[in-house]
Amino acid sequence: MAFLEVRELTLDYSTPRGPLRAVDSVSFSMEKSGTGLGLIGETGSGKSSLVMALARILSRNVSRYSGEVFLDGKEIMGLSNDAYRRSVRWKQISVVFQGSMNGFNPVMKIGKQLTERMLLEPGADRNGASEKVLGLLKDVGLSPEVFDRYPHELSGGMKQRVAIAMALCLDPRLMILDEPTSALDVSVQAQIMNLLKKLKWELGISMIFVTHDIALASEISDDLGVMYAGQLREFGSAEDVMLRSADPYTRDLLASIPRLHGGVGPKFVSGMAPDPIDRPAGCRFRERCSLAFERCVEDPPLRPVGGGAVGGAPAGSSHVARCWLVGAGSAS
Amino acid sequence: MQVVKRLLVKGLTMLAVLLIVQFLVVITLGATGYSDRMLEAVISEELRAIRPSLAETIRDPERLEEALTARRDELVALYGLDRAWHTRLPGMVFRVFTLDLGEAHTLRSSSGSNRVADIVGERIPKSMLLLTTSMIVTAAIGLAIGARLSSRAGTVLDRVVSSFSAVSYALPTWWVGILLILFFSFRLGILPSGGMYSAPPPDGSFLRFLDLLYHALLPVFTLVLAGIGPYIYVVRTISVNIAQADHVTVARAKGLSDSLVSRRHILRVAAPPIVTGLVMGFAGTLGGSILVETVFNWQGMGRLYYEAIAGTPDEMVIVALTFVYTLIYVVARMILEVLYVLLDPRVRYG
Repeated sequence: MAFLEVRELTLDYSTPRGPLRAVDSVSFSMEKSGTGLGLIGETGSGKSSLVMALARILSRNVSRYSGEVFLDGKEIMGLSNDAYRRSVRWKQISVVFQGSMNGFNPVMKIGKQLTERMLLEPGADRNGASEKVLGLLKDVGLSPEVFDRYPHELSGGMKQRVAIAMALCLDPRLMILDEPTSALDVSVQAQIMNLLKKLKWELGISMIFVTHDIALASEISDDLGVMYAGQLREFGSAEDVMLRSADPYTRDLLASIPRLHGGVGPKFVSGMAPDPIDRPAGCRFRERCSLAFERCVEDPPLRPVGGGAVGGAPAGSSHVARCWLVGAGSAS
Repeated sequence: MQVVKRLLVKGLTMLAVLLIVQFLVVITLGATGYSDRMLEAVISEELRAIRPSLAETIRDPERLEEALTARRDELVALYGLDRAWHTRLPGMVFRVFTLDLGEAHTLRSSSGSNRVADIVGERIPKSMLLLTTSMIVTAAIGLAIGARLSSRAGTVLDRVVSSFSAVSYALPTWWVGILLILFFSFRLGILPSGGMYSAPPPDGSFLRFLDLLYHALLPVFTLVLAGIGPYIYVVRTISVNIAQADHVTVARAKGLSDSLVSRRHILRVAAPPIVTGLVMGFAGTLGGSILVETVFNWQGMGRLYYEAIAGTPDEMVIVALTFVYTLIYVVARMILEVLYVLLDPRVRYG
């Protein structure tokens, strides 16, 4: 039984111009707990929407929210909002948001913001909660003084550490990190990444790490998923996706990373992602792809790389990609 | 320490406000010649009053005129009319500051005292009754409706109430008062059109109190109607903005219930600007209450203001009333400053 299995997760936003499908029947799974999954993709590819949908953090303009999510074999999408809030939120799935700078109530002390959720649990007491939070603050490398501070008294890096400590306070199974370092400078970014690696190693917490920084994602991920225009383009072990990428988009994306050595300059992926409200039929990368051919006007399914089976196989830890050239043996 | 310094600076600023307002009153009264004309009128009135008694002791018309002129010079010197207004009036301002309010020229308190302190003092509680009641009612209704609207932003109800807010903001308070009198007093005949007590007032202090409340209904309603619109809008808009802040999303993701999120993470954060809106609204109501008291014949400071300006002019009372009104404003502002420091930890610095 997979630790996390997502089946045909779909999320639409209603916009004045019509429905926008941000997440288009995405299926994948994380086989084992305690592993890291990196989701990469350009802006607007739906990676943040996907994880927000997983954590059921929906904005007001969501018009469709469907699919199935199994956590430890238990379906959680069908739970009522109240049941989901009581049994899943923060206890099973916690989130570290992109803008932790503003992620704290400005008029409440840090300690109270970290303990308030714990105190809602039956049998929780203030002293126990405070003690646990002090321990977590120590784990993320902060002094206990932070407990009695207000958010505006902390730096950006400190706030990010507090956000991580907060996400740990109910010992969740899965921690979703939505671009947790993109607002930080590089040295702080490295510190946070080391902290996350340590937590993953020591506490055995599963992580889904969303970023548009591929190098960063590869540091912490066992598996990698590449998103494009609301769909999963390629999914597999980090090694497979990085070193033996099968999808032209993934390869273009990897080629766009500047390298220090080798004398090869970065190449940009030309063009723009299709209009999300009016996407063309067929392969969504077709118009920007240098390898496009006649068949690309048909919708390519996710297919195992190297295997011959045709059909919408759900992405597991096996390597899958969404391109007609995959498996045809001529994708070079 | 920084808190003390901050409050001290604010306190001194407020003191300066008090001084500046007093000086503006003096300049207005003096530069327009209003003060001089008022004193002339008072002196002529006094001379007319003593002429008959003087005429009884002094038979000779010429000597009578002389005596009257002498008396006149005495009064002119007494009131300082022989000096220019800018040498005469500033002293009055500083006497007001020491609460040495002097004597009124024409107005009297209900017990007949002509001390300005007595005349103004007996009016203060009557005005405060109207002002505080209407502020409490406005705050309670505004908070309840505003907070509720903020979770329904963009709905029909929200738009209706927002339009009402604009109308309410634009309504002249006194005009609302007159309309309400027309409707409730003359058309329906269920509420008194003015005054503070029935004539004759009922026996027993409890019944008298009920009678007072009965008479306060319409003026309070008027003040609330004029002040509630903008206040609902302030509460609604600030709450809507804060509800979109990142920390609210985090609070929801943590699994806090909606009511806890709205109380602890939206309204609590919105409290400083909401309290500011309330106190500033109260300051605005001070002006409106002068006219409302006049319209409803409510014997408070506002009504006295009207009498001291338009009825029987009395500059001492005008200066004293301006001082008390400014003082109320300044005290309200100082309470706001203290509340702000308590409510928002971010202002405790710098």
